[in-house]
Amino acid sequence: MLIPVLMGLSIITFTLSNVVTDPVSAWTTDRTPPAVLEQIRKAHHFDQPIYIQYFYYLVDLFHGDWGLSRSQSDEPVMSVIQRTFPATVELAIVATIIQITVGLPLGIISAVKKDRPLDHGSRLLALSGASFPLFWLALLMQYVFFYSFKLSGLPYLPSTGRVDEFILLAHPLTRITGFVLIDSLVTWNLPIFADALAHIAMPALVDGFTGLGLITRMTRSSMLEVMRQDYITLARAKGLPERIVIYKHALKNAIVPTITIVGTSFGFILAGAPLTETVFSWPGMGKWAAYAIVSLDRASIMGFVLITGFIYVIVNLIVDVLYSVVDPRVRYG
Amino acid sequence: MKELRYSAYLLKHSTLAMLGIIIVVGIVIVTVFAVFIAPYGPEVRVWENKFQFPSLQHLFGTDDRGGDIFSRVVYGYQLDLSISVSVVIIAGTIGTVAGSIAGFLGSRFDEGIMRITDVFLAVPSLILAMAFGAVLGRTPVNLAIALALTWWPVYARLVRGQVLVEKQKLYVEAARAAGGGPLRVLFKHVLPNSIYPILVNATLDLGAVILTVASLSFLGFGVEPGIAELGRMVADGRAYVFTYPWVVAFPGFAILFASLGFNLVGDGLRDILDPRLRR
Repeated sequence: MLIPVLMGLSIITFTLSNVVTDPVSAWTTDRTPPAVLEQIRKAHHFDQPIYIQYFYYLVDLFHGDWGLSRSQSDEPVMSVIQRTFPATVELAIVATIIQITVGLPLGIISAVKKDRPLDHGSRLLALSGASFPLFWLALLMQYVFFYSFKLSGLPYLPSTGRVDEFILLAHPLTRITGFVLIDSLVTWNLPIFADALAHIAMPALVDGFTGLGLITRMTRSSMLEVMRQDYITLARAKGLPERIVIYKHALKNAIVPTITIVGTSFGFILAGAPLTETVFSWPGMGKWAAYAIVSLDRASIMGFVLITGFIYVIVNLIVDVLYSVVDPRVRYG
Repeated sequence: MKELRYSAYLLKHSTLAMLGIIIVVGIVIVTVFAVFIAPYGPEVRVWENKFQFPSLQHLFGTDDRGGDIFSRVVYGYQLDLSISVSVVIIAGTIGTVAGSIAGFLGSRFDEGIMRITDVFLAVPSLILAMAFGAVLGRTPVNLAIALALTWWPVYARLVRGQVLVEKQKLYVEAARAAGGGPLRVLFKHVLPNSIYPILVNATLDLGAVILTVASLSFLGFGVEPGIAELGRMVADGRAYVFTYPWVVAFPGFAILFASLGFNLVGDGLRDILDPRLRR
């Protein structure tokens, strides 16, 4: 399942960068003399038939040669990805954590207190999540939590970047995983940890906003489905307190569709990354991709598409594994 | 006919859906009659009027080049809506054709087309659109093309599912037995019965596509800086968000408004068509 999709993805990126457009142009300018053009053609096998070119493309991909990023002064795409990958993933994970910790309880309460104000509120939240332009939400949050708060003298959240430069100088951070939150916690570098949390708060909230309402509604509807089942009535008839009925019996069964939605909304988070990271100047893959698309840096865009597809496929795999962990009826024989 | 009447009845009694319809109709009117509604042209620049606070003369204020934001939002709606509608129509058509072939002919066609859609759906739509966009030039038309290419797999999957379901039903067999060729059966019988989910999806997609169009333009792809396009206006005014917030606030709100309207209508339609809620 994984392999054909990734292969297909590489075919698309290959077609887009080598077939639809002239591949030589990624390595040349308008003023390159024809002799040099020929040399480049031969060196990169552009004169060969398409399937041979594709073969070389795959070989390059596996060796880590994903081309040079024009918009990053010809830095190799792979190195850019290594540099920016942790930032984006850290943001995505924190956003997902927010989605789950807020969305799940909200969904449960919405189901239990159906048609009360909270239920309508969560519906409004889901609707907003689907309708709000992310980049505008980001700017809105910057305005409120950074600008207005600062002006009114309230403690404010920083509006850009990942970590404050000055705090970093005073409390240098040893890089273990590349995830600032984990590294600072493991090395007990509390000033950096607090600062990183403050910096990640707004971007993570914006990134997770789209999926938050979705998760809430999905939890709610699957909880409603489950609560109608006979075994719930039985549990109540046995005299179990309502709390146990909800958490021990209903939730375990209701959680499966929610896991799917969490996986899907991870895709939304990745899609929103270019927007959020641009507004908050977050040094991640999204910002790189946003810059690349304006400069028409094809190698970067294709690299970004490939890595995003890869991440998304892995996430779906994790979701599938989680299914079999949570629901014993689903086991891969 | 009675079906339609019942659907209309249900729709009228759903306040949210009605709200959505009002919003959408309002936006469509503004779009079509933009020339009459907007007091200024989209490209009018009066440099002395930079950054004016909203007033009677300039309902939404002026931007960094003295252009009237209200007019630019109105014309922005025109551009965004025409792009979005074209995208949904093109993607819907391609997707319906592909899905019909996959569902009706089955076997290898089905496998092949489903594999292709799997790949397309493995990448989040904004990013896939960026990929296509990087290859095409930077014009609104190319933006529409890139988005249509990104969106058709959704419809292909949807239509294929519908066709597969309808294929099993008795009337298809009856139509075939009466001598109808496969194409005729498809167009005259199967597709008309599958159209509701497609319509619901298309309406919801209009909202989603508007967001994607605005997002791509915000990033810089699709329209030149300065063009009256809602996402672009937010990007252009971003530097002044703290000092002159209205430059960013109104275009952004316009995007939200349009997307909200379509989502409400789409949700309403979906609730109506939910068999559990009918009768």
